[in-house]
Amino acid sequence: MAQTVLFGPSEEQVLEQEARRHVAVLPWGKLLEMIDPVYNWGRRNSIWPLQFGLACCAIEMICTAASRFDIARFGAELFRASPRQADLMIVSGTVTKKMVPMIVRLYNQMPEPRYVISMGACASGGGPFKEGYNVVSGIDKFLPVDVYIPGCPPTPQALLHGLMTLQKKIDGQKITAAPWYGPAVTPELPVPGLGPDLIDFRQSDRIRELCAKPDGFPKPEVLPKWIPAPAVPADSGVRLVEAGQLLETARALRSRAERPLDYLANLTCTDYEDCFEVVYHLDSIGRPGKPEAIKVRVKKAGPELPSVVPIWPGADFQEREVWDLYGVRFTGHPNLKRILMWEGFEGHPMRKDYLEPYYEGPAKIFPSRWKEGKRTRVEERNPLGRNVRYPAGFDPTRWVPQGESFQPVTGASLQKLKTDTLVVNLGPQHPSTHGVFRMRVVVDGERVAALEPVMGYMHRNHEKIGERNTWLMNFPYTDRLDYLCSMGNNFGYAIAVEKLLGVKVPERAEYLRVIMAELTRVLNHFWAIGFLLNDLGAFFTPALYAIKERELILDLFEMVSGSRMMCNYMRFGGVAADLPAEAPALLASLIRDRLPRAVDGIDRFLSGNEILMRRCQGVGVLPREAAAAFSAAGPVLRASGIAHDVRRAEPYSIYDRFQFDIPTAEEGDVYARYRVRIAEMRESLKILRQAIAELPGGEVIAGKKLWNIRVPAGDAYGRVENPKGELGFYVVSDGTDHPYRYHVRAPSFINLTALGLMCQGELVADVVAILGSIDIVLGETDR
Amino acid sequence: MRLYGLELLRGLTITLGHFIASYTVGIRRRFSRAPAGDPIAAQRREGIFTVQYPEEQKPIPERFRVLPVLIFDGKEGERWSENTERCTACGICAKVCPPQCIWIEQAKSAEGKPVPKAGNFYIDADVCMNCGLCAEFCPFDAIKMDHNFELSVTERTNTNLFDINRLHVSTEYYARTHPVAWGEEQARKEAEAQRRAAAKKATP
Amino acid sequence: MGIVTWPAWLETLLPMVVKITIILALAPVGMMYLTWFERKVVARIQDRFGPNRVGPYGLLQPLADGIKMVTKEDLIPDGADRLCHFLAPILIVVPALYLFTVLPFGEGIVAVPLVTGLLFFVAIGSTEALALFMAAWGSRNKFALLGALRNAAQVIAYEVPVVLALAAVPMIAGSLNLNEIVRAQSGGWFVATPWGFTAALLVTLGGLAEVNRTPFDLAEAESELVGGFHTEYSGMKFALFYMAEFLSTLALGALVAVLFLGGWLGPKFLPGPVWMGLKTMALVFVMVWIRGTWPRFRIDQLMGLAWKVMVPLALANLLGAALWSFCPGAAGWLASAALSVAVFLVTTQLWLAPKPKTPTHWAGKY
Repeated sequence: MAQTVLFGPSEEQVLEQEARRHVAVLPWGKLLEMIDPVYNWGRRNSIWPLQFGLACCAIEMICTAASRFDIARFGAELFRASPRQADLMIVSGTVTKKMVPMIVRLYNQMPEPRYVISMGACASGGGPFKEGYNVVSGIDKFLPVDVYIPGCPPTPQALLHGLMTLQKKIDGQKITAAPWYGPAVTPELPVPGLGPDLIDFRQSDRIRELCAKPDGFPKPEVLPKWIPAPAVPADSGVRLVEAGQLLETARALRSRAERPLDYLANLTCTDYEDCFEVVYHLDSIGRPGKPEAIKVRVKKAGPELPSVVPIWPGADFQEREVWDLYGVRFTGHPNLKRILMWEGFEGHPMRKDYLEPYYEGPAKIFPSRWKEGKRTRVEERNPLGRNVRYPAGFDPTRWVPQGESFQPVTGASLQKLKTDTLVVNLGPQHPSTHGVFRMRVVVDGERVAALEPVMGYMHRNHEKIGERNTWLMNFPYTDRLDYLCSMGNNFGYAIAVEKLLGVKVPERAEYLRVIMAELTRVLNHFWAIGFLLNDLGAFFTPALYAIKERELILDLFEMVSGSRMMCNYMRFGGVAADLPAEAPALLASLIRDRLPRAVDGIDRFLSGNEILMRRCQGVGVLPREAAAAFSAAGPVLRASGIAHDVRRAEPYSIYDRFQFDIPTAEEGDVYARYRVRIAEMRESLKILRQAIAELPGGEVIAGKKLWNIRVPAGDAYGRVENPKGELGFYVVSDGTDHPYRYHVRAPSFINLTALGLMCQGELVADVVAILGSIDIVLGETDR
Repeated sequence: MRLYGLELLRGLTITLGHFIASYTVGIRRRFSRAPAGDPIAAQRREGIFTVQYPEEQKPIPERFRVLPVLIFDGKEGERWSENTERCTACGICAKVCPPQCIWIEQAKSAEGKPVPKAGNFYIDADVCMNCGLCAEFCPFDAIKMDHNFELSVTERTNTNLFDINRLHVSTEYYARTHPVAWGEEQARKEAEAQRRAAAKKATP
Repeated sequence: MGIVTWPAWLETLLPMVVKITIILALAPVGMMYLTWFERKVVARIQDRFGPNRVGPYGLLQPLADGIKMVTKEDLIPDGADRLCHFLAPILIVVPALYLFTVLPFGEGIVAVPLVTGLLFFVAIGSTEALALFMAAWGSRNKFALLGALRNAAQVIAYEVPVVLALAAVPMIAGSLNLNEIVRAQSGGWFVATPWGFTAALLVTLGGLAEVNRTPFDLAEAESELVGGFHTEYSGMKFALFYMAEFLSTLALGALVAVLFLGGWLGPKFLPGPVWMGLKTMALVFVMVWIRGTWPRFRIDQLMGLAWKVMVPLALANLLGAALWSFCPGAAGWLASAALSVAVFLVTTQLWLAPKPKTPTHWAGKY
């Protein structure tokens, strides 16, 4: 017993303090440390992801859950639809400004402990779409991310590697250091607002400060230039019409005796120095021939045109898009609202004088890359570190969100509806995998009274970026339009530009192009059928059988082009590379043996299934006249009894050499579209058998491959029959090395015009099945 | 006259068939001769379709592209140097890259004059779209697409901006991962060398 | 000398406590391995492995799931009815556990040998609908409520044919006591009789609807539009919902095994409980197999199936059972078989036949 000292600690006390400092953690802490391995083991082996996929990377995420890579082995196959039951949010795809508020809301609803994997280049840092006006350059601007997986898209094995990295991270965590058990409650992230641009309320003060200054946001040095609208020669077949004469001319063309133009194929706008030129490409259903074009020019100040929706209802969404992106007002349009951007967004983005906050120059090749290529991230040049800009004097704290107005598409007028109806939102986060698509449905009891599709959640600014790219650079971007059918998209773009280039493609390349395009058709229809069954609730088994076959075709694509999905295989005047040595044997085996058996197998497994028939027959009927009027294309059009296929109407490449039929059905319901897709797969296999039998030797590209080309001035509309419908590219060249205007006629986008009509009077449970039968892809719908 | 309900039962028998095949086909495969990576055999296979990553790897075709790498003439394990690097900083890859994710700083000699070498070379992996155009159009076979996809990280600001040291791989590595392309490149260089030798002999 | 005698109250209490402990211990373990079984079987149907990294053959996977679910944050929605929200998972799991108290797992191995065992089973099983509704009400989510109402309608609708089909068994066996019913099958399992086969089919399919499994799992499907009743639950409470679904499935399988497949009866080279286990697992396999194959019905088709097909068939089945029992020899068999087949064919063909829709014409107005 030491002597007690009057002032200061006793010897015992000093010893105790020393001991406490160096030796012991409190017994409680020691106990918690023993729990750590068990706690972490439980968490890392039972990671349940959220059913949430944005874009192309989501397809690879689904393939990771499919039979070949099987994320179930890790215990992670239970994708939960409700965020409250999920642990992991895999942000798979480009994060757009329109979608970010939903993502943050979903994240807020997830219980702790929760993790975020940023899958792919787009989710990590904006990816190839970084400069877009609707793109957020990386989800880590809003959410805390645990693991980043580079790749575009990362293959399923890369995603599994990312999952393992997350598991290693969890293994290293300590329960005593876990933030969710800490004293401070993890705050809810403030949901960003959609004002004149995306508003991150954590930056409110800085935004107000910058908007108060006259030069808060950097002014670009080099601005884009306009060209004057080119002359239209009298013998070109294009009609240049005055705005006042438009409706008259349209009606006359629609009702003329010889080849009446009853189908609006494409409607878009180009921004010239002296005018906005709106071009209409019109076709005649069931009668072969090239589409005919009408051009109308309107003044730049206060542009206005009469709407052609009363004549061709398929113009609905396309005119809204022109209004949204160019600001051309269409009088008489039933619902002229923005369609891709949100109401309240400032500016009309596709105009040449609209410059994105990350704008670097009028056209790539940007001088900052070489020879003094100092590496910078573009965020560093931007005052907010984000891809945003606000009008002068904007104050986020005073901003009030604009309410959404509801306008049903086709059919019901709101006055006739009973008062006790319910407006319900389907999406944009869907358990079904069509992507970030939203439908606002007015429900009257069990039946749908009216429906309004809301898009733009995947609007990645292809067209604006496309104007800045060189002609060759656009090829990999076209891969990402309809990301399931990248070969088909490449094909369409090549056809369109080759019309301007006038280059002749060698025989072998033509055959290779057709082979790849038809394999894409088979692959796409497998996916569509598998996911239609998934929407009907068949718990993945038909989808996985279908994905299995698709994987084998993807193996071939990977062998030939280097990537499963983003093939980037076609070039102007041919294809990028010849088949490798082991490809012909695999092709022959697939086309002659495996795929026909697989199609028969799926047919046998599903087509007669009584539950399927009960749920699909008579559901979602699209009458024949409506199908043509609404500019439906692809299997949607053919299942309504109209035998129109671009491969027969305007044969491109060497399709006129092959024997194949155009399958049609009469009923126009979901079951008919399913049957048409099965039949189309068989027809594709027919074409493929002929193609590989006749495949000649020789060159695969005309002339030398050049990395930068100039395309002669002019405009062209080139189209192909993509599996989802008519995919068209309208390109305008001013003679330089990049397009002046680059527009994609997306079949998914235009097929949705008929969705409201198809769903009217149907049960709510059928809406998802009807959407599945149209077979849309958001990369194409929103571009 | 069709008996409704039979198709439902047939569906059940098909799935039961898959269930049984998932056990029995494995037995046959264990005793069969076809190697696991054989693509033709792969697609005759019924039964389990899974490739158990990471213990098994799906065979990667040669043209598979992830992120680009720079090639230097040397052996694996060596470090690149100015003498062995192939890149001449011509800048074509930076110009042809669609998302413009390549920055090249041309090297300078001691006097400050530019030399055909890359002083610094950056690729932003968070922007690269794996398109392969850089490799396709490089006139010097200096930049190629690599197969490595195991790139996931927990932090990206510093890690995902690849610089010239991280990007360089040896020709031995490239020849091992891309044998056909390497063979073609050697054959092409050989033919070119012979043509030049013949031309030199022709003109004294 | 001091021989210790148990006091009377301890003598009744101790076995009870032991039995309760066994059920509380084994039932969740059974449920966990049922999830493992389902994931593996569905995976094998889909040509893949299923969980196999967590422990050998993935056997430790349910343990990891359990640890994770227990340690998740418990979220209670703003303005939710806290009492309802808290009670609903308990009210759904406890009756599911009760179901195991009357099931005989072997000769004389039953927790509570109730004379009215079957009645108790059915009565307790139908309280699930109330707990479902409480869950949705407690979430303060109108879409979850709509989903739960649909679900409740489904459960109530399918009670009728299931109970009617079940009624044939005590009619023939002469007792509601589940042990007696098993003993009554020592001459031949009830499933081998025409009425028994029909009844087993009805109880299995109807039971699938009762426990919300495919092809009747609208509650989960409707989460596209209306949230399923458990959308707002996380962590341990969600685990309880999950547990209740699988416990009910297991109990359903065990019930059908007891009533129709002879329970613990079987050749003597395996003990009774093992036979009971094998039969239950066989039925559970069938249920999982169906889940992996068929798409799901829509709400109106589901109701149609219950009222238009299953109820007439169950009623006819009662008559068939009586015919089998009273008509001597082969005549009884033939009569009841013919009746079952006839009613089955008529009702299913009428219900499954596609209804042609008159082609619509579009008025041309936009």
